[in-house]
Amino acid sequence: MNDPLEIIITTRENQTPQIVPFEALYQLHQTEVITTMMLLWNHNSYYVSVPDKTFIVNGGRKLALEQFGECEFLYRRRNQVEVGMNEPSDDGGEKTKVVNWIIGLKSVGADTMVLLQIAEDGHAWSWLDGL
Amino acid sequence: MAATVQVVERNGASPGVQTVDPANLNMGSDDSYEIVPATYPITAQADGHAFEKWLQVYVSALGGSSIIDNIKIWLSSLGGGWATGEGMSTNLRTSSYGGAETYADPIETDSLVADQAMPESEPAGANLGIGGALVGTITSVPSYSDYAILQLDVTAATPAGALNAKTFTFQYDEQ
Repeated sequence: MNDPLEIIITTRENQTPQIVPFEALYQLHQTEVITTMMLLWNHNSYYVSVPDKTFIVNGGRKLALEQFGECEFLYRRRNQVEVGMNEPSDDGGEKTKVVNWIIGLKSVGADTMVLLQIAEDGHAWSWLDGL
Repeated sequence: MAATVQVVERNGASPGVQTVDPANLNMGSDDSYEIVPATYPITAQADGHAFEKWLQVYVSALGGSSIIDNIKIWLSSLGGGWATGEGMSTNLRTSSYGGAETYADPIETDSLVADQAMPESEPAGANLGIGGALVGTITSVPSYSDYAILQLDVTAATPAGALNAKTFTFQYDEQ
């Protein structure tokens, strides 16, 4: 697994950003409102701001979501396992692998969402409009 | 550390016996895991079928994550494509989900529960439920998803010999 080097979270305006592991995100999400999140790999950064409704990728691209109304933060780590037919019967041990990291915004009270899907190695990214 | 998630196959008369992490999902005329297709071929015939495969996604450790959800299963490779008359049926669906199926002896006649076409690309949303609902979640271990039931179908026109080996992708999200 190639985790981001850092996951930086801000939960309140003017609060000092925290660096948290993925496994701590859920508990943080239960107790505080996550307002911004940035994932950092060696040469790439992916940023989402809930209050601003914006995404910034490597300091450049930016998407305003003015039509969204009130938004909430959404995140996932996406995994896959593949099982084939006609494989040798003695190998077993099919392993799951992380295929994507997903961060984004979801409209409160609606299914509308905009998500940034980042490849496992942190290099390729694309947009999703649903999980 | 990521969650520990594996595929489980259940075979035999109810309640059946489960096999965790089968090496393959070969289908044929025998209700067992990891069958050798040449030993248990499906006879080409009108309305022909392999034995149903009853599968679950099994979570044995959350690995620090808190929620597992959004399970999707699809055929990610047809291995060269379908043969004449060959197809696959399933109970997997992204809407009008019928709830969790109760394990029943796998049959090699037309499945009573696998009445959908097996998806050949990533579905737009979850197509296998947890606790009877597509929006269900796993929050403790050990836990299982609902049953995914698959059945290979043939016709009298399906040619003799090995069919192309396919690959199934099981996908889930962690929070």
